[in-house]
Amino acid sequence: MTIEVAPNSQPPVEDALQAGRGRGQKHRFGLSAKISIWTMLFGFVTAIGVVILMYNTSARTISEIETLANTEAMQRVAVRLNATTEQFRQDALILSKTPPIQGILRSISNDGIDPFDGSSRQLWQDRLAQIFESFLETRQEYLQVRFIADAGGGMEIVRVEQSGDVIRRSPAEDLQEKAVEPYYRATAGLAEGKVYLSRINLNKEFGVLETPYRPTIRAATPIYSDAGKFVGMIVINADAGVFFSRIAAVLQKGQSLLLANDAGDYLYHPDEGLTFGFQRGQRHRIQDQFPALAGSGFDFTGKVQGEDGEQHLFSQRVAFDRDQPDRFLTIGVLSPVHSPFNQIFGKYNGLVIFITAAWVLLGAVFSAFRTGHLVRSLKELAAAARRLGQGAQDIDLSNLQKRDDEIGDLAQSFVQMVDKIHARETQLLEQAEALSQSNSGLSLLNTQLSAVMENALDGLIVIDEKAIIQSFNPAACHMFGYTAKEVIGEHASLLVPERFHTRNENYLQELLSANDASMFAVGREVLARRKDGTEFPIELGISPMFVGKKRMFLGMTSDLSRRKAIERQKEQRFIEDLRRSNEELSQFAYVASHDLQEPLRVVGSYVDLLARRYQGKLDAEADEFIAYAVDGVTRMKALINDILGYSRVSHNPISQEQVDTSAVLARIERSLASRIEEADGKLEHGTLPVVLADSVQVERLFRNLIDNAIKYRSKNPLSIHIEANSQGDRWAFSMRDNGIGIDPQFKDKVFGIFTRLHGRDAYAGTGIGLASCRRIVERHGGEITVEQVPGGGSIFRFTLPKGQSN
Amino acid sequence: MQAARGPGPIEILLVEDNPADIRLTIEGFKEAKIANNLTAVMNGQEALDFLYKRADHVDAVRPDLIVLDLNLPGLSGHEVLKQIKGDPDLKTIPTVVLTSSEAENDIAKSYQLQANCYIVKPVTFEGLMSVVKAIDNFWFTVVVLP
Repeated sequence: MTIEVAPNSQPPVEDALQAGRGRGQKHRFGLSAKISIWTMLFGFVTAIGVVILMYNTSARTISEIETLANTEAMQRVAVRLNATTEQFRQDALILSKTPPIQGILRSISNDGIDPFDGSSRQLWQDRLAQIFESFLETRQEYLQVRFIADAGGGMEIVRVEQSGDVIRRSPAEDLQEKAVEPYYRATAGLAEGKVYLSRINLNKEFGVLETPYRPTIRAATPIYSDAGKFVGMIVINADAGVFFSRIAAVLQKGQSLLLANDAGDYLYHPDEGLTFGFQRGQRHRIQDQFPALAGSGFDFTGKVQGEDGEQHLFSQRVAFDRDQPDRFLTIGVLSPVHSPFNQIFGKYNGLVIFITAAWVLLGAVFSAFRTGHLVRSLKELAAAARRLGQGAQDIDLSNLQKRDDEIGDLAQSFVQMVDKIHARETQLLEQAEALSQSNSGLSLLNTQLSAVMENALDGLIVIDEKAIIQSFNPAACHMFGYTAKEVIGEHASLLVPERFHTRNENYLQELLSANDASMFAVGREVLARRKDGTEFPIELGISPMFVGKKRMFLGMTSDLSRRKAIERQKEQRFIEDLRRSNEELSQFAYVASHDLQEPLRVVGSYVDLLARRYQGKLDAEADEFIAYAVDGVTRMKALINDILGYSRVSHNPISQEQVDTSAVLARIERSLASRIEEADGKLEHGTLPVVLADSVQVERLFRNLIDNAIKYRSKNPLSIHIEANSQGDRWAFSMRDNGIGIDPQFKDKVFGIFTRLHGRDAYAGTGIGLASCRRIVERHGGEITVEQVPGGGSIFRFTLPKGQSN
Repeated sequence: MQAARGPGPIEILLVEDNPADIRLTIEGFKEAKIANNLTAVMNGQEALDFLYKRADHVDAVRPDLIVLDLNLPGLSGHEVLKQIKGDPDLKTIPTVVLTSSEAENDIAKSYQLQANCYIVKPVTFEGLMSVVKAIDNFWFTVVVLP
C-alpha cells in the first residue's frame, strides 16, 4: 500500500496569512509611523507659522521701543551737556568774584600796597593762589586756573595747574602775557557776568599738540573795576574728555555717543581715532559717515548702515553756549538694531528653540503613542487571526471587545468568526482523528522505512518486474553518480556495463520465474557502471518483495572498488616482497655455492694427494681418517653442486624453446642406461609431446625424477612409465614407478629443499632433486604433485606449456 | 708439419693466483711424470711481461703451453687471452683455460677468444691427474702447431 504525502499542502488560511505578511513587509513604514510622521509635519508647519507671526509683531514693537529709548537717551545727553557747561560757567563766575582779585587790583594801582587793609600785592596774590589750589582739589577735571590782569599786556598774575593728583602754582618767571590770545580778546569784549566758552580743541603746549591727546575747553569771564573799567579776567582750562565721559555715562548699554562740533568734526566717538581730525590732519565728519544727516540739518531719526550692520541713529543739534546762541554741538546716539529673538529672549534664545523643538517632538511622540495604541489593537486582531490560522484555540480578545469604538465592533465580529471556525475545526478534527488512527501505524512504518532508505550505507535500489527503477537511495546515488531523479523510471540495465546486458536479462528472467528463496539474497560480485561510464565492482544482493500486490525487487549494493583496490594492492605488495626475497635468496645461494667450490676443491685435491702419496705408508688409522676426509669432501661437493643446480634453476632466466620431450627422454635413457640395467628396470612411455620450455631445465626435470625413481626403487624390478595428456594449453605429464613410494603425509614436504625422508646410509642424496623439479615446473607456470600408488610406488604429475607439434 | 715435440722438457707458463693450485698443478705434472719446466706467474700483467720478455722477465723462454686461470687479480684471464690471441706472434702458443668457473658465459667467451681448451678444475687430485694427462696428450696429439 502506498501512502501519498503531499508535503506542500497547507491550510489555505495559512497561505493567505503568509501572503499577507509578505505584502506587509514591502511597506517601508507601518501605520503608526506614518501617522507620527504626518503629525510631526503638521506640528512643525504650525510652529513655523506662529514663529513668523510673532517675529513680525515683535520686530515692530522692538523698533518702537528702541526709538523711544534713543529719544530718551538723547534727552538725557542734552540735559547732562547743559548741566556740565553750566557748572563750568558758574565756576568761572564764582572765581572772578573772590576778594583777593580786587585786593590785587587795588595794590597794583597803589604801588603794591592795598590801601584798604595794607596788605601787599604779594600777599593778595598768595591768598588768590590758595583759593585756586583749594578749588582745583574739588574740580579734578580742571587743568588750570588763571587770573590775568589787563595791565602789562594781559599778564598772568596767578596761575595754578593741576596734573594728575599734583596741584602746582606756577612760579613768577613762568607767567606770560596773553593779550594776543583769541580767548583774551573775545573775553575782553564781554559784559560783566558773561562767560566765554572756547571751542573744544586738543591742547597745545608751545605750539605742539600735547600727547597723549587732551581735548581742552576754556571758560573765561571778564573782571571790571568798581569804576566799570575792564581790568582782567579769570580763565579756567578743563579736560573736555572728562566732560564727554560724564555725558556718555547717561547712555544705556548698547547705546553709543557721538559728538561733533559745528563743522561736523567728531569730538567724541567710540573710535577715538576719528576725533579731532581737523587738528590731527585727517578730517572725520559726522555728515561724511552718515550722509543722511547733511540733508536733515543734523536732526535725524532712523536707521543707518554702520560698520557693525544696521543701527539706529538719533542726532540733534544742541546749543552749546547760551551767551553765543549760534554755537552748537551735534549729539548722536547710536544703538544696534536688535532681532526680535535676541531682544525678547536674549541669552535664552537657544534654550527657547530647544524647548520649542522638544515640545513639537513630544507632541509627535505622544501622537505616535496614541496611534500605536490604536494600531496595537489592530495588530492584536491580526495576531489573533494568525494564531487562529496556526491552529491556536485560546484566542482571547475580551480587552478589545470592551472598547466602545470601531475596534470594539471589529473584535466582536472577529470573535464570532473564531467561534464558527472552532466549531468547524472540531468537526474536522473528529473526522481526522478517525482517519489518523487508522493511518498512524502505517505512517510510522513509512517513516521508519524512509529513514532506513535514506540513511543506509549500502545502495538500495527498488525495481519492478520490468526492471524499471522505482527508488534509488542516497547511498546508491553516491555510488553510481546519478541523482535519484535521473534514474527513477529508467531500466536497471543503465547501471550495468553493456556487455553484461544479455546475461543480466537472463538473470532477471531467472529471478522472476524463481520461487526458490535461495536464489535471492546471495551476495554476488558483479561489475556495475557509473554515470560517467567507469566500471566498478559491487556486491549485489537481490531480494523479492511485494508492494501491495506488485512484485518488486530490492537490490542491495555495496561498492567493492575500494576493498578490491586495497586487496589488490596488498597482494601486489606481497608478491613483490616475495619475488624480491626469492631473488635475493637464490642470488645468495648461487654466490655462496659458487665461492664455496674453490676452497673445497683445494681441500679435496690435497686430501687426495695425501691419500695417493701416503696410503699404506702411515698407520691404518691415518688411512681411515684420510678416507673420511675424502668422503666428506665428496659429499660436500655433491651438495654444493646440487645447491648450485637448484639456484640456477631458480635464478637463471628460462628460455622458451620447442622441446621434444621424447628426445629428451631418449637422451636420459642413454646416459642412465647402466644404472637402469643395474636395477633390472625398464623405462616405458607413451607418445611424448613437444613443449614450450627451457630445454636444459626440462632435461634436468626428467633426469631428476628418473634418478629419483632409480634411487628409491623397491626390491622388485624397476618399472617407470611416463605419459602425457593434453589439458587445455598445457600437457599434463605423469610418471609412475613401482618404488618404495612416498607416505602421503610427506607429499608436500618431499618437494622442500634439503628435505630427506630417509637416512643417508640407506639412500644417498642431498634432498634437492625434487625441490629443483618443483622449481622448474613452477617456473613454467605449472604445479607438481605426488601421490601414492596402491600396492607400492608413486605417481608424479606435472604440466608444461604446449609447444608446436609437427 | 713440424715435429710436435722438441727434445727438451715442455716449457709451461702457468697463470694462477692461488699458490695451492700452483703447487697442485706442479704436483700433477710431477706425478704424471711429464718432463716440464713450469713457470708460474700470479697475475695477468706479469703473464704478459713474461710473454713479451720485459720487466722482470727479460730472460723468459717462449712457453710451449700456457695454462690460464680466468679469475685473476687486476687484468682478468679473458683479457690476457684476448691479448695473446690478438698477437700474431703469441697466438700460436696453445692456451688451456683451467678454471673453477662452470659458468656457461665464461666457457663460451673463452672459446670465442680462441682458447684452445677449456677445462674445469677437478675436485680431486685424481681428476687433476687425468687433466694433466689430457693436456699432455692434447699437446702431443691434438694440437697441430703451425
